[in-house]
Amino acid sequence: MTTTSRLITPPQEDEIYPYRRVWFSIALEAGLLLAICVGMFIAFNVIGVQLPIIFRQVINIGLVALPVVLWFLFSLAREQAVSLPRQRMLTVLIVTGLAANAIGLPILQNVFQIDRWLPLADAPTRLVGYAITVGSLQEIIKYLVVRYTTYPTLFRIRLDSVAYTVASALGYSTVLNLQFALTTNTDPGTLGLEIFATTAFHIVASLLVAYGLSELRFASPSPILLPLTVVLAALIHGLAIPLRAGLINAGFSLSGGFTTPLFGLIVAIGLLVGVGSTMAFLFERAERAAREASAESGRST
Amino acid sequence: MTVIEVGREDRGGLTLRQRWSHYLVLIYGVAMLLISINLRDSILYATVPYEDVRAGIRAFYPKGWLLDNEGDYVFRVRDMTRPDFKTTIQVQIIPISVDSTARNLLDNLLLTRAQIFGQYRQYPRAAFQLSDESTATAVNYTFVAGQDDPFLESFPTVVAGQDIVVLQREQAVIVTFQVSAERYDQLYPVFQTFLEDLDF
Repeated sequence: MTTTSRLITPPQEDEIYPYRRVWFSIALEAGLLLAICVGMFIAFNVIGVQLPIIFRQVINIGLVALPVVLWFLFSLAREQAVSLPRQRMLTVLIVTGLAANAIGLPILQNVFQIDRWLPLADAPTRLVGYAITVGSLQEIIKYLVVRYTTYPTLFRIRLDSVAYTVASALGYSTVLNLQFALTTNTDPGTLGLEIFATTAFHIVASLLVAYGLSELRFASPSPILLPLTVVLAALIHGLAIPLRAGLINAGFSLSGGFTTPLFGLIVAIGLLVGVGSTMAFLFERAERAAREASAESGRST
Repeated sequence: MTVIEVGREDRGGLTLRQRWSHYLVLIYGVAMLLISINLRDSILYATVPYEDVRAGIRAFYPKGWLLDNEGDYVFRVRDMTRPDFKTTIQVQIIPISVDSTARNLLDNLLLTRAQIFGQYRQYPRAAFQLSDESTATAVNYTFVAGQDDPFLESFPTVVAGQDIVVLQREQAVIVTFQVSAERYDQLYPVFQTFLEDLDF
């Protein structure tokens, strides 16, 4: 009897990524939110489902809570399943929501009084006005919350900035959605599209600020990079609001006027996909450049 | 060449570069706040000049309001964007005798308006200082106005108004401001600006 010795290759151990994958969570949450909101629109505005007003209000409140519920399920809960979870995510969301309700909305309504002059202004004034007033105020508030609750101690990798700024975006947009749902008697179909657009605009703007924060934490950019990302976020957010409103609102014609909510949905999806992809690419490029610089310095020593 | 900052961290764990970035964002925020308020004022209180050489009146009325000089007044401007009562500023000149006083005039207005407006109620009269330091008489009042169009089926609106009466030579200039009572405090600055610019 002969025995042959065999060399067994030890199994390849995959390196376990110790953080939650942020881009996957954002894509999953946005995709589910979009699917549910479009489903509501089809049910109530295309098929014409009729419900008693009390049920409609319950569905509306549920829709307002939907982005946060999805975030709880696919972001916050998954943080607990990884070896290095992010801290204070819920703090960022709640503090931003409180700041939005206590500072953002009162300043917009009582100090800027945008309802009295912005919607009636001419198109260029509307575009600039929304960027300067609504866009700047909202982005500064969200930035300050992230800056004073997490930065720089909780920023361990670049994508931490995305996780925290998206949490602040959801906190702010939920307050706006709640205010819209409680002050207008709208059907769940229309409300769903409004919620998706508001949430998408806030996430898009926050991704830009996230890039500025992460570069400032992990690289040595010019000091004006972060302010520039805040300005750009305010500009995009400010432009998106009147652009969407202009596309949705019915125009005057001989055949009558009909609102076109799907155009507004396309703007929101386009911005979310376009800016989201661009920012994912920029984050990946910055990460790769940092790895290469680290490898280069390791070789030189 | 890569520049590495060494030993520049403060107690908060921030480098000088990070701190300056943060300061620049704060400066941007304050600047946008001031620009927003300025933009609001420049649009909300934007005015258009109006001049009536025959009546000898020059005024600046709110931009976007509808001008009308077809009635028994010099001119009247109204904010037609309001869904309920259209906010109104009106300038009227009435010839008076030498012996007439502001009280005669306001009593006459009270009697006339009580027949036209529903629930018309006048409040105590007071002296009013104009921008040229001259003294006029002011009277506040309220009434209930309904929509002219019966198909709108809207609730009546409580309107608050103020008349400023100036006696000048043998004529009385009556400047009237009428607005939905719930927006009176909000829009009164518009009337104050109008009065400050009014020249007669």
